[in-house]
Amino acid sequence: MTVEVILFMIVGSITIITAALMLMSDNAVHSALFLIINFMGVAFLYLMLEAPFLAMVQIAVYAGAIMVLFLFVIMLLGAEKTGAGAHLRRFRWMAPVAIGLAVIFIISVGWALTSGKIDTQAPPAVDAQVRFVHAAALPAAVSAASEPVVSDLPTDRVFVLLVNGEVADESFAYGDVSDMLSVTSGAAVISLREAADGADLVTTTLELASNSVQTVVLAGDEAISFYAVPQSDVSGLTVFNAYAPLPAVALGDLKGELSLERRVLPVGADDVPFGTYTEPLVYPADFPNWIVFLPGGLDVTRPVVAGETPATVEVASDQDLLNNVVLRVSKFLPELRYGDNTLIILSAERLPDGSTRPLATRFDPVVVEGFGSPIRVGRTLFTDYLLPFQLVALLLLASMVGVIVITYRGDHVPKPSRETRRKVARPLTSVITSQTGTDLNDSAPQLPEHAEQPAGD
Amino acid sequence: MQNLALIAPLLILFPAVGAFINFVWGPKLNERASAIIGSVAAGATFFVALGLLTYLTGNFYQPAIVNPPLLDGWIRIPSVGREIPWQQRIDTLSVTMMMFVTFVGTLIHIYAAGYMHGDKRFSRFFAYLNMFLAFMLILVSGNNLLMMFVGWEGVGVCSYLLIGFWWDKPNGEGIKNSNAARKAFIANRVGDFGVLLALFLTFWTFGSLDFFKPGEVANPAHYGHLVHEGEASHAEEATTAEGESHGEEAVPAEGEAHGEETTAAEGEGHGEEVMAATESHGEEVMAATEPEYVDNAHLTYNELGIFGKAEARIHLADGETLDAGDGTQISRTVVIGPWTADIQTVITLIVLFMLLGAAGKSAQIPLFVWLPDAMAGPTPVSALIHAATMVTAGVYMMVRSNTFFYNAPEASLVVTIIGGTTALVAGFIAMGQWDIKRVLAYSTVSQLGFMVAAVGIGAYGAAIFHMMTHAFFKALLFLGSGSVIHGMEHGHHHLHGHDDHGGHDDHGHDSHGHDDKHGHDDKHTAAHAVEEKFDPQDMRNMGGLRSKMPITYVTYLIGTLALAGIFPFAGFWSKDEILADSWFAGVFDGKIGGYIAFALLIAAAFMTAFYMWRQIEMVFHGEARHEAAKHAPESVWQMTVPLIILAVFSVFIGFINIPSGIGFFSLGLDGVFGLHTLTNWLEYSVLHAHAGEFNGLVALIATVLGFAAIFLANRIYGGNKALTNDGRDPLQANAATGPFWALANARMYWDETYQRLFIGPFQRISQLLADIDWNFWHDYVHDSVITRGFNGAAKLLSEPVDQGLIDGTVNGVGRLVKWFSGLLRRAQTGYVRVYAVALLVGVVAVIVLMLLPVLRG
Amino acid sequence: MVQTEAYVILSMVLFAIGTLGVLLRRNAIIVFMSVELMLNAANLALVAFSRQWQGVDGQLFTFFVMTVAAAEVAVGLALIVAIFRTKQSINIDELHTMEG
Repeated sequence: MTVEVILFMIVGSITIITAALMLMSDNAVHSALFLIINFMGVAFLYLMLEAPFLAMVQIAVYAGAIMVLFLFVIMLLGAEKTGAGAHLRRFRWMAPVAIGLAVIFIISVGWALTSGKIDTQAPPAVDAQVRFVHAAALPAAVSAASEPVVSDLPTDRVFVLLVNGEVADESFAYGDVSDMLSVTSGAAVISLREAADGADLVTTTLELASNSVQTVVLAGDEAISFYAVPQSDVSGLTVFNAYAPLPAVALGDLKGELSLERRVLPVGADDVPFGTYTEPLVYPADFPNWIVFLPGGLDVTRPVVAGETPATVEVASDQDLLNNVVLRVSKFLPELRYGDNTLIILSAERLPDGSTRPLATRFDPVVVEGFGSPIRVGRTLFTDYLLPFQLVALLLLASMVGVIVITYRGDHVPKPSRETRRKVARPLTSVITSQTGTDLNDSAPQLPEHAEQPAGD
Repeated sequence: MQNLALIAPLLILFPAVGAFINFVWGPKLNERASAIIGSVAAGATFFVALGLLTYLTGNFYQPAIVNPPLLDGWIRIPSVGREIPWQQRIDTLSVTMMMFVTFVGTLIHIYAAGYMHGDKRFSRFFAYLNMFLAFMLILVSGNNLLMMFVGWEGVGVCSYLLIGFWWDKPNGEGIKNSNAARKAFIANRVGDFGVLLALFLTFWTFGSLDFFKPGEVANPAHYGHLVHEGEASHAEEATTAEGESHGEEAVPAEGEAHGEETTAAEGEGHGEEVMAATESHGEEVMAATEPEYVDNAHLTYNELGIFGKAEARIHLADGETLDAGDGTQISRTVVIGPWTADIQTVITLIVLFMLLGAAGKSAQIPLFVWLPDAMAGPTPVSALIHAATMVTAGVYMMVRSNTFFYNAPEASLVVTIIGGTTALVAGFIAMGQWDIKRVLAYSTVSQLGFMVAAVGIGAYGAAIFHMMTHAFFKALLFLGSGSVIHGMEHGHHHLHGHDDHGGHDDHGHDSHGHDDKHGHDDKHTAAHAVEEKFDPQDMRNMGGLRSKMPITYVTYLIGTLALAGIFPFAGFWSKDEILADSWFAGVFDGKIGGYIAFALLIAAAFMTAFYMWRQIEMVFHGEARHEAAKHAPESVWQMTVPLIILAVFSVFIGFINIPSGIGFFSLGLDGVFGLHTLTNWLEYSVLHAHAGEFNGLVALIATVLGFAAIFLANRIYGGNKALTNDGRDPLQANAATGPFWALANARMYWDETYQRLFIGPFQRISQLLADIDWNFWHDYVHDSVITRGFNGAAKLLSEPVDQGLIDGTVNGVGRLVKWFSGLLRRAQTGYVRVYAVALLVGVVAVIVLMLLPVLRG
Repeated sequence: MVQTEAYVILSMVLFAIGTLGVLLRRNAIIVFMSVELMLNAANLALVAFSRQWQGVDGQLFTFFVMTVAAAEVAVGLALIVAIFRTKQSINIDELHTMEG
């Protein structure tokens, strides 16, 4: 019994009850108000159905415009009471027929539904958003299955990136970050070539989840490959180890400065092998001071209970620590904020003299619209459904004009007679009078006898 | 000179144009213009014929075959390779015919201008005359039988039109005229049947109808005279219209030798072929130019005309074959469908059919009955058509086909018998006629019999000779009779001052188309609805016109003497030649036909002289027996001048064929005209023409008989005894001769016999068929069956079917729709609730339906 | 996560209630409000399935439905006002002049 189910049942019953009440109420205004509540319920249901935009539109249009219109007309016509006119004898058959019809309908549809034969269809796959990062700085021997070995991979060489056989980026050099590309979700073949129609230097097949945001990193030292790093839904810091020289790193939070005293260093991730990424690490409230260090260099104390308390590491001495620190993340990325969903790629930077040093690159999250969001709805509306949209707009225009035409009384000379008195069941004054027992005025407000401009014109 | 023959198409063109003008614009022209157009057309044709004569004489009598301009052939049957082209043949025979036809025709045109004066269809008459001339010339100038037949039919049509020219005379006269015209046409039609069969047989047997093909020589033997040793010329025989003359005629240096041939007649303008000093036939050799071909050795069978083919084929022995030129072999056998026949048989058949045709056109037994009735037409018509030209067409055809006749002796015998019998019978009938023109008509029939008999015995040249002479004097006699009649009428007018003949808008009382139903040849035709029946043609009313109409009398006398065969007039020479030829045929050639012909023709000659002198006595001598005759004036110059011209010709025309051996009887004219001039001339075209010898015995017998007849007639009719006191003929009154005379007067009941044998039954059958047609087909089938049936069906269809069924259906559909919509409209109650219920029921139903598979599992 | 079926059942119930309101009430305004209820029920089902299938399209459709519902309410109420002017009543059973 999840909250959702309970919520559904409550809102659903509200909807049904108000609908029935609307039906059975004598007073038209009551009926309208019940209907408004009904609409609100339906809007809530829309929210539950991942259609926030539609929910808002429902409230704005239906409850806000249409029902208001209804109420206006009810008030105008004074049609609260529908008691006028007896039930016609000729329609005595109507009630049984209606009930019969409804029963048949409910039974048939309910049976169809509950027999479970309604097809379920797998939701269509949504393209994954992928960006490519070239983080392979070191020369390495590249060996494809039957391709010759590339002796070196200098950082200034430019390659052609192909995704599923199509050229994605024609000048993919070291340090390049491509734009977000839509790649069909599922298995994607990513390959690197010298030229567009040359031989593949590096080929990797990656599994891209539907509607995911991925960062594909070209990393490696001796063996270069593409690694996919999905964007996590949870806010936190994700670190991808693309630092080729080291097999694995660890991540710790250096609160403040090191002191020579025995320190306990909370470790976010104690073992991040090359080519993998950490779970999103939750930032501490205060400014984090992350370091990346070699896991083997310092003892990491595992927590006793899994998952609750973070791991810590005892640092014997500052020098010990300093010997093992790979880099201080905070040094590179001072503007890290709490709550961001950030990806950091730890890679190697090539120096002119041939040596390398670690480098941390930051990637901000890419927002993926949720299903049912206005952006999604709007995008589809104005691309695929533009024509119906225009037509419906035309329809609205026509109906507006039509309304004016229908109700226009050009030559109407209002009758200056008492028959145009509004049929109000109980004027407000009489209500007040009856409730307070006193007359507010000597005479109830009446319409002027000789009204030049009667209402309702 | 070669190309002079190319004017031949003008022969047909001029009269055709004249006819066309008179047809189309005739009513607008006055009489003078119409007459001038007609006469000029005829005269122009005469000059064209003259030109052709010149051509022939200048071309060694070599014939020309002229293709018409602008026309490319006539009938072509490419699938069997046969062709019948429209070609004209200019050779001696055709030019002979052309000459006298056009000459006499022109004279008669001029005569008719005077005769038909005042007629309301004056121009139409001349149009017909010109049309006739055109067709006649097609007839004589055609190079094949079909062209001849075209002309044959054409002249028959014109004869019909002209005989019935006064078809609208009142009091039944018009009906008689049109009956006569119809009779002529129909009798001719029977003859045409014969001609057509002859044509078909010829075409089937010989594969063409051409008389002679280009390059063919009609009479090779005759051309032998003209061959000069060793000097060849390039003179072409056949000049075609494309004018391919392969050489010019070398003008002989001996102009006089050529000039001897040249006709002096060119300068005179007569139609005489005055061949000066052509004793060259047998003895002299012509100089310089000579024909290229003198025989047909260079031609294959296929390149010959029908006569050449017939000659070649008839002389084949049994089983012998001849190469046709394209590899096929020709034998004596002719295959006609499932039958085969020998060529001799076929030619005999052809001849017999031609005889039938000639019997129709040239008025022989049995088809001569139309000619007397044809006198209903105006006199110029009688003169032109029924004396000089149309009736000679049959003889022309026979002479042209002399090869056939010569090679069919049995058929020729039949021809002889027919001709002789006709001559005798007609002569007999003529002796008993009252009408002046009728006498002449029967005389024509009789003379035609002479010609046909001459053809029968093989005297082709003599036949043509007699045709020529007969044309002149018979035309003269007819025109003279017309003049007499004219005078009688004028005398009658003058006498009574009013026209006493109903509808006397024309002077033609020549309409003696008597009803066939009456057996009389009386002048009292019932159509005279006047207080006084006066027939200007009745000889009983005449008499003593000698003094009143001298010119007419003299010319008529000359014509009579010529017809009677009195030396030295024209008829003597021609008739005598026929008699002599028949005598020789009988005595020397052993032909039985010769004897028969001689006997019959001698008798006929006697009768000829007799009835002609009878006519002279009755008409001109004695006292006038009627007031009209007392006041008959002489005729106008348009009528007398032609008479004079023709009289001159009648005197001298006989000398163109003086027989050899005549001695001094030729009156020295043989030096002028030469011997056998005409026959020699004709021999170039007529293979079997032979010159006649003079037989003194025959001539003596003929002359004696002629004088005897005249003497006898004078005895009987002379001295004002032409009629007995009671208005009868003396022979009629005589008991011994009375029956015979009555028989003659009754025309030997020939027409009545035909009426009983053929015409009556025919009319009864047609009446029967008409009754059947009217009563059964029209009244019963039409009215009862068809009309009522149709009406009933229509009623049936309209009432129950159309109104009931179809309208009901259509209306029913409408009513159905109305009812249904009446039902449906209840669904619209107007209550929103009901609509909402309906809608929601539907919605729920749809949802349930869509979930049904799921619900069912 | 609450199952989609639950949401759909809820939506179904709301829809049924809305149907009953449309059919049984005589007041035009109440009928209208019932129609809005039905629309809402449909929206709920849409969003539920959209969530299940992770597709934004369901939500967009709901968005459009809401817009259209707003337009429709405006017009419908204007009609009611106009009708009320003539008939002085909004009892739907009294409006049946357009009947066949």
